[in-house]
Amino acid sequence: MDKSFAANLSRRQFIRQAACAAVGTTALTSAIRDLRLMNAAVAQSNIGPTDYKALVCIFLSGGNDSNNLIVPTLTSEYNSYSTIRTPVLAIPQSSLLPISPLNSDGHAYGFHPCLGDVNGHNGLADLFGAGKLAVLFNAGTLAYPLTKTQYNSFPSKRPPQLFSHADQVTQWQTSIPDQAPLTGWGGRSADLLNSVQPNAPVSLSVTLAGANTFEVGTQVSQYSVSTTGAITAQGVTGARLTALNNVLGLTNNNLLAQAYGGVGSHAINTGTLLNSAIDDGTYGTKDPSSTVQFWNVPFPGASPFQVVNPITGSKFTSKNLGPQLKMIARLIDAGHRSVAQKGFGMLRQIFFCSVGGYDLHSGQTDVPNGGSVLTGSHSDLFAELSQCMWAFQSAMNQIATKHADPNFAQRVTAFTCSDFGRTFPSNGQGSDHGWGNHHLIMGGAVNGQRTYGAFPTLTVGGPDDTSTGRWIPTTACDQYFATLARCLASTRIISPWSSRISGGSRPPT
Amino acid sequence: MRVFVKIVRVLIVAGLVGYGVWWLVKRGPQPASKSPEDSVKVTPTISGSSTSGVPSNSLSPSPAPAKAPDQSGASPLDATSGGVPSTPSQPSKNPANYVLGSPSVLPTNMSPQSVLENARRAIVNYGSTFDGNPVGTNPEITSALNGENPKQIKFLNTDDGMRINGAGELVDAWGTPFFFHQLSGKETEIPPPVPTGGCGPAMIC
Repeated sequence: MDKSFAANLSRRQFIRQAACAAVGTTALTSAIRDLRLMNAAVAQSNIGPTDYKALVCIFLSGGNDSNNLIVPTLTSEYNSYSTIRTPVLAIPQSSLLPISPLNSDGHAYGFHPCLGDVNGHNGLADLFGAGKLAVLFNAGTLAYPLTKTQYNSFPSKRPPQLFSHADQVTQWQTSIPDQAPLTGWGGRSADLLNSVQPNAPVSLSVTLAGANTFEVGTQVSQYSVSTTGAITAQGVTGARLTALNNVLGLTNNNLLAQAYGGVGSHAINTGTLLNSAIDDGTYGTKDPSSTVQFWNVPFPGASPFQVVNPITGSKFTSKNLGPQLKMIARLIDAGHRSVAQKGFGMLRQIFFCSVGGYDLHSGQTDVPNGGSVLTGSHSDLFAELSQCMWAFQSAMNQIATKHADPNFAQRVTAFTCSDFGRTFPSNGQGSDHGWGNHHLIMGGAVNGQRTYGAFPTLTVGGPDDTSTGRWIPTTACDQYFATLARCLASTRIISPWSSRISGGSRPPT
Repeated sequence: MRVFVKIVRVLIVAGLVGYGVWWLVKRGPQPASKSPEDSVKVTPTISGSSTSGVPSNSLSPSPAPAKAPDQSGASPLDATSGGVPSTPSQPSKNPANYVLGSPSVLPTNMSPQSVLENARRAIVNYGSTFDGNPVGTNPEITSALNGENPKQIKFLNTDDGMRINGAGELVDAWGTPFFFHQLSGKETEIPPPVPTGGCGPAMIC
């Protein structure tokens, strides 16, 4: 191990203090590869029957341009930002929503204006101020911590196929940048945690966005649910359903047919159970009509509860993220409820949802068409993300009231991921594939109203740039996910995010 | 007489040697090869990638750093399984100074569609060789295709209509830099070049 890397490893205080001696001895490239940390935490804990926790992964597909999610507002730094991003991408300083982090890293920041509130629809800026949201700077896939010099000198130490959508998505979801993917880190977490709930009626891993790598495990299979509930056999009810179940339950000499019967029966039974749990008239969150929401804070979705763009006031339907998060909230409610209350009685759940449209090589703002930099596809996406996440957090607060569990808000943590960041300079129409990206972590357990990691120097060709404004990450996905996984494994209602998260400084050259 | 002959021989040999030394010193160091392609040096820009038909955003970036010397003994032939090549050398700033091919001349009967297909084939060949397409900006991909790869293979040929402008960008038949959209390590999308729709839908390679 060369000296520079040893020095960097010593800065990863949060992992060492989490008693993960294994991290220092496992492959330096991936702390979460074998999840010994999590395993140790699970072994040391006594997860009781009421100790419920859930993780929600919100995947922003395409590569989110987080350079406009959070913008430096100190005059010299804003000028650097503005000089390079003008005219296509630079958000006017007067439009930014100033935030007041409780920690100081020598910078000042503002959120994109579409992360604020409008007409009573609150957003991420409010959550940040309430201490329920944190920002992680410049996270990305890393096989080794890299300085710019090392990036240029040792191509073999870069994660393979940087700037490629599918490969980076895989590396984010597996947290293994240097080997062929076999499992996702969510799936590996589920495999470890499954032992605490061996009789769970529904899979620990649930996806609202179809099959994904994140939840691939060796023991626990992900269970796909639609935004309207479990997918069941259409038009098969009553006597016909009984007959179908009888047929599937027949003993068959053909092993394949026998297995098919078992899977089919399981799918039907699980779907029936899930739908009855979420729609239960007494304990569930049944929607009696399309105009009534489950909670008094509406989830953005279709009319009349649409996303409102704070800049233009225009409304649009959230076709994916709002309905997905709404169903996740319903499944969390059902998962946390006891079996006696027609729930699943689960202790741990992992959810995956996804929203696309972030691959904005063009149309990121309306400037190329003669419009404003404050409008365009990206502002709509931010408005949707902000209002949907805020509605989700509000739902968690109301579930806490419903279940008379004052700690409930600390049981659910949502976090964002994305393929990669985007280039700092515009390509004239939008932005192109980058690398390091800023991300959001939300929940009652989050040590919020803080920023973590190191904000990159906004200089093209500068010390944090590979070239053309692609930031070399200062925090590896590994570090990001290890903290989340540890939180999921632990019994304590802890604040996982602390100043111990390092990765904010580069190893000495 | 014999002595005289020997002296003359020595003088002749010495004279020839001396002339040779003088000639080498006066000539100075020369490149190892004089073939047209070897004289090409890809000099990509760091001013940002370009989409087809859209000029690069003008800015004043810091100068590109010099390529750092190999410090660990890692071989320059270390396979990278495709991906971003080593840092290209100092760019020429004038896109008009083509480093491969000519700004105004395409091979005879070379249609724009053929140029696009040949670009696609170059990427496919690279991907087959290194088990993954090149990724990065146009200049980075171009430099990888033009020899800055672990095996120093050049996949670009002027006979195929391949041209590299002074910014190190591979350009289409109209001189507009290609836009390479990396969908995955083995799938790169090349949107249709200008004029719009002239060559049909986007190519996947």
